[in-house]
Amino acid sequence: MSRMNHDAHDLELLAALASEHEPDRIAAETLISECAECRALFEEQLQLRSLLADVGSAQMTESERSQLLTAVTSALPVPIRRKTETKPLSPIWGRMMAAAAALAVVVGVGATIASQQGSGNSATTSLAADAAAPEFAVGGATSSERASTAAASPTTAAAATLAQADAKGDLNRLKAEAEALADDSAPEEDASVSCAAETEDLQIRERGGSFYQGRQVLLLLVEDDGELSPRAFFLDDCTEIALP
Amino acid sequence: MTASLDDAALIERVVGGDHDAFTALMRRHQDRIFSVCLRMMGSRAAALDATQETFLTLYRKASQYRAGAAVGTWLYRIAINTCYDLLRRERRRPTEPIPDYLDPADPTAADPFTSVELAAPIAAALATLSADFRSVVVLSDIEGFSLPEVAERLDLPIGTVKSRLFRARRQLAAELGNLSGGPGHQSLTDEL
Repeated sequence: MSRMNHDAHDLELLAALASEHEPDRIAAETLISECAECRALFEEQLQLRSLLADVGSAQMTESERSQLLTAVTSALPVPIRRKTETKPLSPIWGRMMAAAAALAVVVGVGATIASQQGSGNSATTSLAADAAAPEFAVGGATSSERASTAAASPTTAAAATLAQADAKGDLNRLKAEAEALADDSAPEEDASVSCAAETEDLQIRERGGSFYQGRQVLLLLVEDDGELSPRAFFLDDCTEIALP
Repeated sequence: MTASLDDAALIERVVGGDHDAFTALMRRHQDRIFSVCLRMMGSRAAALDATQETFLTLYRKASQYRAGAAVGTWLYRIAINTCYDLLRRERRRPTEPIPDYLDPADPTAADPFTSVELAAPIAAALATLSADFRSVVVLSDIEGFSLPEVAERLDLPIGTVKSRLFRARRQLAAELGNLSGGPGHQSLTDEL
């Protein structure tokens, strides 16, 4: 091999030989034995390698180790909660719930007495059951009130259909409200999460309250496998409402 | 108890949310990862940040670990990629890192002062290399991995490793010559 051919030489072999990479040894040794420029480059590679090897690995100091441990462990996510903590009802909610329950009992007893006296009909019971609804009503009649009223009217079938449509609309409203929780920067409403936490592992991101069919509803925005989805539960018996 | 488990078993526990297993894994590898990060980043503070980010990434991606692969190899790859990211960010927002030679001397070195003096021009020369070249030099010549091991840790073909190594050493030779005012790649050790 002549000096003239140096540009065509495989110079990577020189780096490999300097790194003691066995598969390239024979080819690289041939190269440096026959080309003076390659030999000089190989010497340079060897010198650099030896110089850098002297630098060697660095070690952390004890304070760096403890700094690292603190920083990393404090940044780790909290292990997944198996159960969400139950938050007690606020005094206001408690009083409202107690008042609603008392009213329902009073109206229920009245309805039973009325039916025993033979003056009752199915409409009375229905009205009695709905009587507690206004306690929760916000901004006018609830869909269940409208449904009851419609059922008592002569155009029963049409009214029932209308009420169902209303109910669907309310469900959509509930879902929209729950989804809006994700963007809501206002302080969380005070609502119990005990219903949802009883049986499931929910990762609750936001929660709030609303009304549906005259009943208090707990709205949750829960995370499941990284996806947020709205859920709604009746607060009085913890049954889940199927959102559209 | 976790300290006696091998890396793969620890990773399995980390996936299950076991923080103790994660801490054990970190203690086992932190010095080596820090060393690579230090040579890549150029300062102890930046290396500490990179090491921290590396282990957090390990925690986040633990479920992606494939049984049978070496955890150490995977960890080095995460560390190098983390350094690339941090160096890219640093380039976009230039700062003045404290050079390695101004950091406290390595207390474990037999002669810390000699070690620090020697490191100054080398650290400066290393800093002139592109991150791609630097990673090859750091793993091969400073950390002492063989070429196939470097290729595995960087997820590169071995031919690419050889080529980068050759060119990186050439550039370092020129830089070290320039730093000491000497002529290129001649008599490097004399110059230092």
